[in-house]
Amino acid sequence: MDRFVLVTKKLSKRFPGVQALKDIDMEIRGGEIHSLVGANGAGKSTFAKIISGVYKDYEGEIFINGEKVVLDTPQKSFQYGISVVYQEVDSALIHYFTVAENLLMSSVTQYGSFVSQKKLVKIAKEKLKSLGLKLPFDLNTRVSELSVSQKQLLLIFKSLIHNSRLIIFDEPTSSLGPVEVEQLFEIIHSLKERGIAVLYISHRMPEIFTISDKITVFRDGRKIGTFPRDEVTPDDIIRYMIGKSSQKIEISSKEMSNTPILEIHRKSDESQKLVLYKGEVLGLTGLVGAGKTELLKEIYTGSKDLKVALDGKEVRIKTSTDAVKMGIYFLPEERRKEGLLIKENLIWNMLLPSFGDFANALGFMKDKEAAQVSKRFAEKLRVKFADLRQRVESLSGGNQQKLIIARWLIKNELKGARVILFDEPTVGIDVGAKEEIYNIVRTVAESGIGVIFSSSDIDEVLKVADRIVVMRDNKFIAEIERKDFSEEKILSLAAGRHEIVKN
Amino acid sequence: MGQSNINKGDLLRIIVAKYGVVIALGIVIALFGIITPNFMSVGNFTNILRSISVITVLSLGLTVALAAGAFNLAVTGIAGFAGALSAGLMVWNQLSAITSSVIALIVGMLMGAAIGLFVIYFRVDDLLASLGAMYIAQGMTLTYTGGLNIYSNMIKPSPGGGFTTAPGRISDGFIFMGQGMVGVIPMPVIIMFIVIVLVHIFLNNTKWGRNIYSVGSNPEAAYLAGIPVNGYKIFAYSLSGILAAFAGILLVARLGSAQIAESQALLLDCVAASYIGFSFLGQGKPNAFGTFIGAALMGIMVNGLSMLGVSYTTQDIFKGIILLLSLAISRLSQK
Ligand SMILES: Nc1ncnc2c1ncn2[C@@H]1O[C@H](COP(=O)(O)OP(=O)(O)OP(=O)(O)O)[C@@H](O)[C@H]1O
Ligand SMILES: [Mg+2]
Repeated sequence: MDRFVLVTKKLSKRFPGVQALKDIDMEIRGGEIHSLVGANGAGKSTFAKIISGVYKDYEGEIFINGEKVVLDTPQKSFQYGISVVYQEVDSALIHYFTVAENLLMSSVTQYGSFVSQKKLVKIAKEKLKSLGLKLPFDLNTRVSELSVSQKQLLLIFKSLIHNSRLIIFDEPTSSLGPVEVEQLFEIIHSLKERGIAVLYISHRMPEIFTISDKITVFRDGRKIGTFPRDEVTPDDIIRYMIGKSSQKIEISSKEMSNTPILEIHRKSDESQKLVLYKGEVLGLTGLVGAGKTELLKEIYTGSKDLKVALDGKEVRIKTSTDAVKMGIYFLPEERRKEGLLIKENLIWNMLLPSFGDFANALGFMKDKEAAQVSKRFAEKLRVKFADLRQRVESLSGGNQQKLIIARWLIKNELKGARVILFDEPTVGIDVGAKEEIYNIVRTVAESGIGVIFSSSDIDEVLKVADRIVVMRDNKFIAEIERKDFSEEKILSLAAGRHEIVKN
Repeated sequence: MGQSNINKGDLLRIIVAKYGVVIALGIVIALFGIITPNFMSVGNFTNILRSISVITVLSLGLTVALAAGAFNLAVTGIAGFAGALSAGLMVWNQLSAITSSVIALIVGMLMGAAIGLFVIYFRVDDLLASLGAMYIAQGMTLTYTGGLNIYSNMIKPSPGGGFTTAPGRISDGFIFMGQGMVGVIPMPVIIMFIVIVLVHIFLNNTKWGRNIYSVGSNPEAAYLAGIPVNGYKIFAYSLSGILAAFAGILLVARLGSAQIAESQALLLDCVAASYIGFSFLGQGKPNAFGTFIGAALMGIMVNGLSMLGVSYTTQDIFKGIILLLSLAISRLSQK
């Protein structure tokens, strides 16, 4: 087989009000891991979507192995051997189908209309075997029972079965923990060895420098350059991305207040308790599935098993509405499913919890005021948008995430929060903006409220937290003060092994 | 930045998605205007508006529920029962028009709320649950009326044999709502426009409307933002019930009596009007003016086809086609 080469010439794409991409010349080769980086809204996903046939009205030319191709439908791109593993793996799989059915989907019909599950499993097994692949879970499992990383693996294997020669990963690790990331990287490396081209989009610098052969930087829809990994440093890349050096926040261990603001006890297990102090940012970390999200949701939407005290007084939270009234806010992890009203505009999404606060005594909305406040916060968080009244589905992933952060900052400004629970708040947010968000989180906490910052990205927890609590198997297993912070220690606690081999 | 490179296909799609129903309305009016001689007269348009007034109000009842992501197929059933009740209270119990109407509206609201509670409490499918509720409401209507239409000083067989004459009348003031004229404009048309504007303002300019739409567009996100989702669903069902009941009352006023089978036939028109309305101005969601346009489209079809001598039964074919087309258009506007 020839070595796969995809070349683009002057690739451009406009949306109403924005030039998302302008004159992109790229070369992606088989056997190479090519990273694509850039700030939120730089055009990375747009590039990936053009290559995978989502947009039919792009400008410019695409060549595969020297032949000019028109990639105007996803099917066409797929036939040329291009497949995508989107961050939202769910959208690419059919939940009530089995693993085998999903693996063979889009070729299922070629085995006749009525194929038994048994036969499908057999075919899938053979195919996987001939490619030297092994799935670490049963082919009869329903997709709905798989974890995110298993679903990702399934998608990757599906691409391989269909002879993909370029696999695009758009922020694949944002919902993965350190162990799953390691596994994913092993797989990506094996893809490379098979001569497959990998286009890897991510905001996580350490990952990019671990895995890439080449790094391409986009800024404001233009390509800044492509660099061999060994010839640049992370700082260089960040500078190319945002046009200036990033400002890192420095946090020194500060004198912590010892006034508890939120206390949680688990009734079924006396040993399980958590105290959050006033003015504190408490980092909550652990592997994916360690129970962080569940815990936060239990607090926020009420649980019979939890005893919760706010400002020293026991409170009963039965629904999210109670929590918000008490000043407890929660930023959910899955922004599309749990956060956004995708068909509504920016203002609507930023004010979702606050319509009542922007209404007069008769219940009428004060829309002007609402727009002003939304604008102020959108600018504060540097959301990239063309019009406050555009639907949020047309924003880039990171910019959507900023909106739901803004949502609670606005509520806080209006009503004054006591506690904010952030679940994976920086998913999809670019390096520069991340630092700003850490800053905002710290400032919010310092105004006298308590913040729980839950993240499976240990680096960022180390950066932003005053204190870290590690969870494993739905339990708090360790509490570490800032002066004792160590990545190794936390990783090993989270993974449940006390030694970790680092290479 | 000035020049846009939207290609022709996309432009067409955007126009169809945004103005599709308005264009359709224009085409239908123009067509009938050309082929039927008396169609383009002020008198006929007044007729059409009058004929759609009840359907519009009824459809708004469905629209409000749909806005909260809740289906309420029981609107026609509620309208039938509330209408019969208001007439019965006047004719048999000699209550005033206002008292009877208020009672009927409250009953409609409670029926709506009951459906909402049932759907939420038992987590059942709202389409089927409200279909069940529609049958209950129809049964209630038949039981209450004994299967008879209700009119002023009506006569009905008494249980012991012989006949009883109802002591009361459907008051003139009540009937004015449905049959009166203010200058050249029929009263029900004025009422219809008032209701449209009120529903529009409620849905678009109040905090409750925003929350209802939010619940309808992503209940999980709305809940996690602290909005009492269940409360708003029940609220929307209650409003839906009130509007349906009001449509029922208006129908009695128009006909001068409670015709028990009359409102049942309106279900398809009602669903069509609401769904056609989704795509109005590309909103992609239930809305008051869109619903009016939808009702108008249906009404004009019926009117024009009747003038052409097309039978009622055949008209259903056209209604069904319009409903399907509108579904397709509203799909476009959601893209
Ligand atoms: N469907 C759309 N309609 C209008 N504008 C769009 C649409 N999709 C993307 N855009 C705009 O194009 C620009 C590039 O978006 P893109 O999603 O490619 O960014 P990205 O580099 O992937 O950002 P992120 O890191 O946040 O995911 C953004 O300004 C975005 O608002
Ligand atoms: Mg993106």
